[in-house]
Amino acid sequence: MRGLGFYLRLAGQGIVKNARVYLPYIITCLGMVMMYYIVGALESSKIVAEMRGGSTVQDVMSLGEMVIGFFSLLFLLYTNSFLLRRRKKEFGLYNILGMSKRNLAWVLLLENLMVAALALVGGLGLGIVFSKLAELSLSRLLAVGPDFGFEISIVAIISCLKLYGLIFLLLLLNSLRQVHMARPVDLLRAPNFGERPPRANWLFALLGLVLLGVAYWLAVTIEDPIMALGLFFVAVILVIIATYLLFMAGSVAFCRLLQKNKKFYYQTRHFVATGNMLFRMRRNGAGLASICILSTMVLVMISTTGCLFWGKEDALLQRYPQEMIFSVKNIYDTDNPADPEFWAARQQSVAQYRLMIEQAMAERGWQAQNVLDFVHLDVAAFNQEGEFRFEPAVYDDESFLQSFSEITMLHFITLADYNNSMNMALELQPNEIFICEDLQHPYTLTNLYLPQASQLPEYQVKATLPAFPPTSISDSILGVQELWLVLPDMEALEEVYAAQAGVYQEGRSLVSWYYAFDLPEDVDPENSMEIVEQVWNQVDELKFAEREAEYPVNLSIGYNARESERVWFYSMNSGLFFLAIVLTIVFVTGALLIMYYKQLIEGYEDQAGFDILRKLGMTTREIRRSVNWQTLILFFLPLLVAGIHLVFAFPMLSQLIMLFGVMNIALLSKICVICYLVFAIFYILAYLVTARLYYRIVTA
Amino acid sequence: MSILEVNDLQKIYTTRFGGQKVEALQSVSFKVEKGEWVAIMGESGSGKTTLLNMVAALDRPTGGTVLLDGKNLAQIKESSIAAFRRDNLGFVFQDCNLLDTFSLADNIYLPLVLAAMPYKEMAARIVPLAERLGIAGLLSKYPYEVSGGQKQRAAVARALITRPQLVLADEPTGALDSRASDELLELFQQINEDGQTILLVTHSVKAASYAGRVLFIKDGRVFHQLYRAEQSRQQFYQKITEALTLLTSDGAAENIAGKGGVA
Repeated sequence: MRGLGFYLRLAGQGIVKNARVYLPYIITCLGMVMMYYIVGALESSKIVAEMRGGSTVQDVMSLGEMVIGFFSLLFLLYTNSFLLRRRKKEFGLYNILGMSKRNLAWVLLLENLMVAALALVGGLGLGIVFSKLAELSLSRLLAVGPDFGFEISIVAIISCLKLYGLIFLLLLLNSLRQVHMARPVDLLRAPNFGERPPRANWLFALLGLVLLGVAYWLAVTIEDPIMALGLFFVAVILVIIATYLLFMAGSVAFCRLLQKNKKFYYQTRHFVATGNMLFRMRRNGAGLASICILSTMVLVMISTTGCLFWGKEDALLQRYPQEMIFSVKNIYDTDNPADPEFWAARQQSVAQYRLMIEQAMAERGWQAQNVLDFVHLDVAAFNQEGEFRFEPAVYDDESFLQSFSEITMLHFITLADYNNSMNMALELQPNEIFICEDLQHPYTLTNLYLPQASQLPEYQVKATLPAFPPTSISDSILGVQELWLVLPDMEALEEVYAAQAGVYQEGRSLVSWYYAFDLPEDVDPENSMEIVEQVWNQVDELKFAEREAEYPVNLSIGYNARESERVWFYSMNSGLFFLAIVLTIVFVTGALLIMYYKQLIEGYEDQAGFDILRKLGMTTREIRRSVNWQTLILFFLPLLVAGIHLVFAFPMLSQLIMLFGVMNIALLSKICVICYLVFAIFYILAYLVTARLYYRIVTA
Repeated sequence: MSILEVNDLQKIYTTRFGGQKVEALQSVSFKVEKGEWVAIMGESGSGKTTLLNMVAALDRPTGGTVLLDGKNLAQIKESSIAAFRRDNLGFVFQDCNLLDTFSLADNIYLPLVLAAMPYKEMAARIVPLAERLGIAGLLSKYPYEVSGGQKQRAAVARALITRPQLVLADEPTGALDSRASDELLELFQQINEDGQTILLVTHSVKAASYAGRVLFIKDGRVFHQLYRAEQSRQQFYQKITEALTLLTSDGAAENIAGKGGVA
């Protein structure tokens, strides 16, 4: 047996000589290790942990770490198989020249070790350098000041070494297996010999079209976020199946159609390209469909999280329209326990609660602004052509999702509270009500009759008032229509309460109290936390009226300061966006590299064909044009289809981000377009490199 | 008038590293008359393929000229040389060189499509040609579905469909069994009798014996030539074999050169 030096030299040469296939592979390995390290380092970083909201981001990062790890495994196995395919011939030659498979295994082992060493050392090195950059951009996203300390995460290094050590071991075993299984004659034989022409599978092509149509139709006809959430995954699966069918069967069928059109087909420009595409689509259909789906996912991910990031202030304001929000969910519920004295005591407790809040404000000399102070009863009703029915919903029924859009939340308040909050002096007679304007769902009611609550009178609608409350309140479930109704007095409210309690029984709604206000403008919002903390401590200490203690119905108290929620909102939305960026980089690199390898392999396979064409009198220009056209289609078809998917997914996405409290459709569309363009730029760069390479190979 | 005139053709390859020069063709001159069938014989490395590449304008000579129908190939612009090739030359290669991605019909159409001929005209041309070559029933098949001989006929059809001045055939029987070879050579004879000029490069004495004239090339020069004239194919075969024996035995070569002379 010869010395190690010989094998080392052979392995080194193997890499250098095959730089065209090895270089992108090494760069990818390096990039994967780098990304994995960066995410791992952020996850374990003390600096990040100390950032405001940093711990939320770290939770998100641990999710990202898993995704990247899993993707690395799949992706590196895939690219490694390309490498092996390219080098089989070389190994066959060595084998015939007298190197045993054992010797080949040595060469492979050394090659793999070299690549692994290069990837791990280089990747970790770059990772350590760029993790600081990543941390700084993260702190920027989180809107906290930069920290100029530098740290190297031993934990992340170890987990990198573990994961990628394992992946490289798997790759090595895979290559050894391939060499072991192969016979030298096979190794030397030409790769494609007399390929059968693909048949068009019209049924599958048609099925693909139909499924895509259904998915698109689902996506554009969806009207509310809850339905979008339920049907999103149905649509996604339909789109995935349809994409595969269309790329694999549809493309072949389309090429066949083109061939049937003799006038089109027998033109210099179309002839060679159409014939070649037919075969290339069969070889690449599945790969292109995967790339298309990967691209769509990346686009959806980056645009929605981008939208959440830039819309986070909106979401916060939507969720917390006022700086301070206090509430008591159960100020009145006659059934449990049905003791008037208890409820009298409860009134007192609420009054005490209010007093605590007012005192906390007064101690600091702050005057509450934009006060909203009202008692409300929110009852769900089915809206059937303007008639509201109280009906207990069957929650485990499948039709629940469907009927969701028919539900209207009726918010009953009293005239006194309305006048108070809106600074008005309106009057109502018994059995009269006001309804409040809702711009999204305009109602044209003249009277309100609730058939299930026959003890209630039929209310006459006196007028439609401006929207109330001026800013929406936090409990509203998104996607459900809402109607605010003003009743003459507390007695009328209690009547409605009793009527709905009779229908809904256990699921009845309770009468609640809502108290929200802003701080004076000259007070720093940061200080709003003081009030919450003070009230929080007092609530704990305070024994509400002794009478209450006898009953198990606890006071259900809510208190929120917008400012204290901001940290969570910002860190969650920014963390998701940051992770989406990292994953996008990983996925896009992956997709483009697959394209590169595909073109490379095909270039070698198509070499002979183009040589014949050249001999038969196809000019260099015609060859170049034909090559460009094919590469263009293969490259941009997935991008184009991903774009169409995105356009049709848009209505669904705009509903889904509403669940996160972002309603800005203009923002979403802007972000989608920008993401698509940026994505396209990277795509075009990769295309230019690849098309040149392909052309150079086929004309060699 | 000669359809092909090769004058003092010379080709020197320079290796990429070290600049070592290899003389593939020293000085080759010959003429091919219209309607003639000329075979070129020689050992491996004698310069046959280089010569064919020059005639096909696939490669540029270092010295000398190639005139096709009186036109100097060296003077045709690089950009129009491909068009010139497909309008004036038909190719038949050893391994057919049919494109696997096209049916036989599409393979045959290929040069016409490159020449941007309307489909109707192309379709009108293919029918009689396919009948003549006995592949009319196979046109919609793909190369992988037909035999080697049938593939080669399709390749001949592809070479003929442009109605070229000259058909260049490079070892067309090289990959065929003896029966398919015979059939193909009969076919060549038939189209030659119909007036098609053919230049055939071959190793095979049998293939050469079908031709009207045989040129022998050795070390980049035309060494000898034989005319078939009124001889039977059998007699001509005998003659060629003798010439080859002399050609390959050292020293004897001078002898032939002295006697035969070069056209």
